[in-house]
Amino acid sequence: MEDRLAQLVQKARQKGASFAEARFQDVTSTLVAVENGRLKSYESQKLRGIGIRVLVRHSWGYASCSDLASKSTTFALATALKLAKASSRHSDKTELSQTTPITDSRTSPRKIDPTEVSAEEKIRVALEANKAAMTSNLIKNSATRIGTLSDKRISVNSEGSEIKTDSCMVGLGHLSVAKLSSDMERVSAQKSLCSGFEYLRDENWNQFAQEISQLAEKAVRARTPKAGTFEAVADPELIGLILHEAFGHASEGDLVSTKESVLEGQIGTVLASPQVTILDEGIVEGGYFVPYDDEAVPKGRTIIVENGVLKSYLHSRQSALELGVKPTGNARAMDFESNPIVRQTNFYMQPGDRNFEELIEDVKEGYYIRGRGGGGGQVDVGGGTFTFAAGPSYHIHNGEVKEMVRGTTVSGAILETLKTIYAVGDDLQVTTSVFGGCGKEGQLVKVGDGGPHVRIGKITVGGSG
Amino acid sequence: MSARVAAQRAVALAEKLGAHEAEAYVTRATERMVDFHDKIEIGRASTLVGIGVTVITGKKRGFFSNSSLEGEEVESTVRTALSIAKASEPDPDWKSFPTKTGRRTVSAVFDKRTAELEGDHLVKEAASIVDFVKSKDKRLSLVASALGTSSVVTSISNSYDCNLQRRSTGVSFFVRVKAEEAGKKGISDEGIQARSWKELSLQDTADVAAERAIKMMNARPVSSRETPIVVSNEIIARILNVMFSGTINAESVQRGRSPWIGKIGKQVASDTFNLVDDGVRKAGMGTRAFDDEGVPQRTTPIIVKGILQSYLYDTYTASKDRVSSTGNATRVGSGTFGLGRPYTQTPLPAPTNLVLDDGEATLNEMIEETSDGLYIIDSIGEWLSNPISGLLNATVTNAFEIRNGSLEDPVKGVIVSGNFFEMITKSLDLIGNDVKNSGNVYAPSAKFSRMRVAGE
Repeated sequence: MEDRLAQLVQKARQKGASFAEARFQDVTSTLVAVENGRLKSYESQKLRGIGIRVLVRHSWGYASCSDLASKSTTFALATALKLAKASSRHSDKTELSQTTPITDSRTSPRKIDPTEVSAEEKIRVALEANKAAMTSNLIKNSATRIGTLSDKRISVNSEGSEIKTDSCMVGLGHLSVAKLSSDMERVSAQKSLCSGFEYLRDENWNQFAQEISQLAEKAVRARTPKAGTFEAVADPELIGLILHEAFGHASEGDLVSTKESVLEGQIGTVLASPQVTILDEGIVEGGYFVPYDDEAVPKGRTIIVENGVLKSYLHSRQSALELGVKPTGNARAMDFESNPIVRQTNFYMQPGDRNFEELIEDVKEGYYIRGRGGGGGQVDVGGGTFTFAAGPSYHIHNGEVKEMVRGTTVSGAILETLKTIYAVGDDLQVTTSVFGGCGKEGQLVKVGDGGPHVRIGKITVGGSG
Repeated sequence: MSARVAAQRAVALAEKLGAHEAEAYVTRATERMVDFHDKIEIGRASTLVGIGVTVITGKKRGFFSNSSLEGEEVESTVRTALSIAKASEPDPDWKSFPTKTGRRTVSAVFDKRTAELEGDHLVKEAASIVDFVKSKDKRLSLVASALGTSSVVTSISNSYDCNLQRRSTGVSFFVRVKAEEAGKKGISDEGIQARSWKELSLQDTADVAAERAIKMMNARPVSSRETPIVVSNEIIARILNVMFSGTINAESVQRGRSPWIGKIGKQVASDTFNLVDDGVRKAGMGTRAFDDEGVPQRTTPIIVKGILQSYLYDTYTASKDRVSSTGNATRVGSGTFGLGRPYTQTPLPAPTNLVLDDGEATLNEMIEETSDGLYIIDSIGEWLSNPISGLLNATVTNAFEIRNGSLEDPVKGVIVSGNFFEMITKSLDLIGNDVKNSGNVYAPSAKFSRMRVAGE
């Protein structure tokens, strides 16, 4: 395959491209769904294809095909060249920052290849967890999923880079619905790891699923929080979500270059309290595996915020050149059909020195907002507002964690919320998901996020109470 | 290999290799897209084929999908599906794939010109919008915008003489306009999703976003309170999608994860609330001659005058309830590597076109009748609301305060909350006459007498 990609790239150069890149992808994924004690579906897929990106007269063209016959890839190349030429009449000079050509091959850690594990065993793991979650007659629905994913990519460009990556991830997700008289509530959560099937064998999934049912049983009795602006303590899953939505997206170099992001022009500015240091790193325990981005640039560790000061954005080769800095290895594509755009990898906060009690003790009136059972988030990077749905959370009164609240949606302002992080905990947890991903411009990519427990001085909590 | 031939061949092969029944779903999709901001960023084109094969042995089901029809790929897809079926568990509720398939006459879901538009034409059109916004006002610029077309051929075959094929086209236009002056910044989005190029009015759409972005430069949160709210058609459509699309189907009901369980024949909304699943709406984004397992689409009333009438069925869930399929089998095409690729999934019942009937009030009348409140035009995070508990939260990005019947100060950064089930029964004041779609959900604007606003 490398040779075919190299030929395509060479042909693109002969036909006038100043830069060309061909990427091949080979994905195998399986999703096993079990519901109320029975197998619901076992779906598996193989996805393969080639994507070609060319730069002609300083303009981009991109084309892809899943059919690998040579007439199809030749047509895709011609289409990419044609689109680039058409765009060149309406675009400024697009250029790429210089990088050193690299040849490398990287594989994420695994012991047991999930494709070599029988369907029976995958079904059994899901079924057992599913049955364990039927904890009481309040539980009206118990749904469990197992996901396995193998994503192999080869990227060859006209500057001589050739990168192969092979990442493997597995995980289990569970949803429980509880009903008490006319009230219903659902709680869902998942745990995934870049690992082989051993992770699905070794963890205690029955306990994990049981805990979700227990949360649902409690949540159905819980009230919604009081609406308003409060102090809060966020857990590692939730601070991960906050950082990802509040800061991660706004630090993406393409959104900075087009001046969409509120973080544009803020390098060197204090945007968070001095306790806050935020990193984007390609390989982190618990996170997704990104040794290189889809432009063959190594993804090391990028310091985004150091002691409260904005130090760097996330960059592709294009956004790096536009802003006069070095690329950070953040140009990522969902798949071969998509062109690389600036994305986060594993975006997380470094731990501090406070234990949990110290974080809680000074909170007079607020909430302990938790990620498990939450629903993700969204951000308006231009308007500067972010939001996300927390899982079942708790009221804090006079330094003590009190009753559970549900239906907690939180929002804040990118330029203000992190300035009110008064204290940072001494724990650290980064997580990723085999089931979902982070969306931008129609592309979903796998990301990791996390951090320690933190105390936030001011955040808006929605609620009908 | 054509989609039709591949589907037929897969079914025949599965039967030959021992499947008791088989179904094949094949798509060939072409997409063209231009990403632009204050210049053209990139023109893109893709051609994706895909086949999803479901086989039954005994009552055991296996499914496998593949993005290639070349060489031995169809055969290997069938063989893998069979091996999964063998390892699977029998499903006592399994009856069969649909035995009565066919097509309904539908209109305006395929447009030849849209299918044939070349990417360079889209580039030119996008460039004209860039020029329009730039020349309109020097405070304005475009960010993260896109214009695209798609053309899809879908073939379905099964063991009961189902050999159907349909074609469809789609167009999408999204603009995000930024206004900036003296450190103040406003952002507004507008978009259109339709079936044909003819339905796009690019410049008018960009103009609406541009005018509003200028006003939003002064937006700020308001204080926490309870207040009447007028919600735009597009946000109503997105809320209906969250609150109904995953729970009004028989699958969720039968499995015990729907709030609509036991509510057929009961009042679940005010008597002005009429919700229908319209599978044959002209040019509808969910309109198809037949659903994703070959059953003709049709119109199913869901809520009439506030009373719940029916759930939505595919063949599997219908046979469990001993009723007929309502033609709602849908392959969702979700998940990281399934996104936009329906062939990667087996069908589940879901809305075709979910339509909230329009009322008589104009948007202006709804605003004029509000002495103190908010008009919400755009929000983020409404899709994170909970359709099981009905707890609804939306973080407002574009809104205006209403005072004495007119739009006053711009607002952003507050959370609007309520319980959806109570909102549609107790606080639905007025339904507008301005239906717009968000994907396959069509809704007018509406006014609610009371919602909670969390702000400063």
